[in-house]
Amino acid sequence: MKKRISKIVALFLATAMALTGCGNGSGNSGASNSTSTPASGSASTAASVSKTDDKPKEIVTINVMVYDRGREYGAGKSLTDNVLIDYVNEIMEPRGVHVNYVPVPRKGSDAAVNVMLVGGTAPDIIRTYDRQRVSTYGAQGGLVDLGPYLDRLDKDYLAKNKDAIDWCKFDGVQYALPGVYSYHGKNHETFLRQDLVEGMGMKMPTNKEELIKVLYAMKDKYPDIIPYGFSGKNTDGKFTNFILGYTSRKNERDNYIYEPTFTMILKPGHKDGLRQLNRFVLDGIIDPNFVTDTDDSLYDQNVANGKYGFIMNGSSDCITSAYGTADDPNYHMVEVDCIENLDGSYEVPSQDAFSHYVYVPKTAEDRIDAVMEYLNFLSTEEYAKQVKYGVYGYGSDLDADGNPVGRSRDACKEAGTSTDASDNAFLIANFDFEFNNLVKNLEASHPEIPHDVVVQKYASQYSNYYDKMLIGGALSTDEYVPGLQTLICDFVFKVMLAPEGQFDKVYEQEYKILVENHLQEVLDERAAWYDKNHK
Amino acid sequence: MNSVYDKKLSPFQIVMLIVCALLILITVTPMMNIVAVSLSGKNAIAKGLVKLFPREFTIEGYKMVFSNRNVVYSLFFSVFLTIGYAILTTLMTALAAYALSRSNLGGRRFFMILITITMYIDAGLIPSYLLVKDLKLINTVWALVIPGLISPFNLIILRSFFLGINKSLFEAAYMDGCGEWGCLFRIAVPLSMPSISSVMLFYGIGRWNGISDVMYYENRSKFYTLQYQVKLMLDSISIDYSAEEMQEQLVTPENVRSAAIVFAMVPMLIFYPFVQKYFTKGVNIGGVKE
Repeated sequence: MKKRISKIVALFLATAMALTGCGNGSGNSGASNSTSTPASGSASTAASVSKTDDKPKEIVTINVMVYDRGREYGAGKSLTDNVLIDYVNEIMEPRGVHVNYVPVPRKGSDAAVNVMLVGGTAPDIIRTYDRQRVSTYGAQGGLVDLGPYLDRLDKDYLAKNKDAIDWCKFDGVQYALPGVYSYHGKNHETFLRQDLVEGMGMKMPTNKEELIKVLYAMKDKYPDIIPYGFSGKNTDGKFTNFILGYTSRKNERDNYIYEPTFTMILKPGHKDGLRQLNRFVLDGIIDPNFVTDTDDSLYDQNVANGKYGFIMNGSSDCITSAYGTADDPNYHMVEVDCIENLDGSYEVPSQDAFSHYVYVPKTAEDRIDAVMEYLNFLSTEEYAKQVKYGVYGYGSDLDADGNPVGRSRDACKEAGTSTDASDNAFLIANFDFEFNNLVKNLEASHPEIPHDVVVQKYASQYSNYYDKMLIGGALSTDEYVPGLQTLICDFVFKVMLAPEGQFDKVYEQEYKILVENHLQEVLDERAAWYDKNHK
Repeated sequence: MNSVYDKKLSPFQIVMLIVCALLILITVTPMMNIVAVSLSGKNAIAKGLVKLFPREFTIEGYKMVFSNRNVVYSLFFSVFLTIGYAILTTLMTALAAYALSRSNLGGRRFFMILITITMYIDAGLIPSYLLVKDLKLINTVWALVIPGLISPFNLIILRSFFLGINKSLFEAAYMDGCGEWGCLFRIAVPLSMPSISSVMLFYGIGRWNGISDVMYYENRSKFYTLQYQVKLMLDSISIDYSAEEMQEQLVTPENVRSAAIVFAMVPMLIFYPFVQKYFTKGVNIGGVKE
């Protein structure tokens, strides 16, 4: 019996070992940070990158985080061994740096990296979308101050992105670098069913008053249509621009106090916007049951079925999906700018001026020269394009203008290059030439969308926007902000659902909850920061 | 002759039957929906037409899942890892449980208290990670095996079962020349198969569904289990295909997501009914000491 059990255990574990190649052999590891000479390959702790003629004296190995999206690679390649990483090392090794990719799951990447940081096995270059995380790690002494090394980055990158780079300073210390956008547009867009508006013999609205008239007319004329698409998902896309239509940007101090994060919708005047949204719910312009749809599932279905007349959202699904699925053959949803602010402008907030933060943990300080060499490579536009487009000839081809055009996912897979190469372009998230291709690309992928709709979409998306005022440093009350973001959405929903005649009572009651959760402290500290730095 | 089915049901039994039926319905309905979505066309899914049965039937979602070699590799790896893990952990647990069930083991009370404490006090993720890292298990298959070799809960079940075996059987075995190994493998184990099977199933299910240790301890795809691979797929799925492909695509992210869930669920659904009878029997018997 004992022998039999031993044999069975041995058999299965041996098979599992055989499948995996057993232990910790070659390849990269989150824990391995070695330097080796090309000749001997022996490990050394020295970390300076020095060159004689074209050949470096030694090659320093650095580990760079890469998102693992569970994709399949062809041609015997993998996430950590593919055409892209070969290309990177082809450029980097003559500079004395060997780059390893360390996979981190796309979702939960911050949590995984946090454990690796504590264990001392974190990659040498890490990206995150979480500003608070960078601030905290920096304050705890866990990050390298990149300020003294900035001049090692590409000069164009430094010149074009001064503001974004400054925004990655925390209390004056450069704990991160920005993954910058060459172009960016509105954060949330607004759409209206032109066919329904014209079907009522009305003109497309040009201001709030006209929009409200249109929505009420829709309710009367089209009983199957919900005039204003809304859901109870805890995010701000469906109401922010509407509420901001009742506020002004004239007061710079207010802009600094309110514009960072969701607090933006609490600017003076917001109460009137909320009152109008409450009226919409009471009058059935917004479905009163919206709050039960917490994951957008019903909302998405209604979008696909062409059930909404007017939509405000961060997503343009009502164009990209609904033209192929809506039952109404006359469906004609277009992007519009029809909500004027109190100051008379039609501007709405843009998406953040940059995509994410890139930081270097203290554990990589002894390899900082090699790290900066790689960051220089990534900050150089020509290399960044190669990286984002999975290497020309593999993940992309050059068009007549010499710009890369990405190949299909299957073609990338077969060529053995990354199918998500843009994940690796840490410092430049998009390029100017891509802006010129937006219309062409959307029309190619969605031929069912009318040309005028596509043109109008991008014309609107990339005009009439402003970059929000941001505080250039970490504040002590920043820790309250993530919690407040959720509460602010709840606040909006609850006030919108106030029963007839009880708006003010519900508003006061719910606003008090925000104050109890440190809202006033957050606003006061921002005001103090503004008074200190801008007065 | 009256069978049990001829007996009149009491009101309590009727209520219980209704409650059980509702529980089954609550459990089965989401599974049916997942299966239906995995087999439905993209327009039907987008428009919310799919409930319990497929609409616009298609198997494109499954084609996409099966055509991903990472997923298929992870399936094989998971199957072998789960079986190997279940056998090894059960063996280790049985050895510990047997030793702790012997009255002549000095300090067994102390050891039992020590082991029981670990059921209630968990050091947490970071100390566990540091331990695994210091043992140099990161990025090895052993990181998925060694930390979970003995579960206190399963050890207690097996120990209770061993304690319930009539002592005279062991005495007879000693008289016949058996040592402790002989007593374990010739007396205790054969008599405890229901408990051992259920413990093995506990370990197997735990390993099959386990994700967090793979996420933290492994960053090489060859050590990814099926569940983790499916999680990566589900988290990242976007179906952002190029122009030409987009027109030809017959699937949506929901479609592929559901197919991947079904794919990961099926092996356990097939396996479970065969050992389920041992599962309940083992837990029941193991939990009672005469």
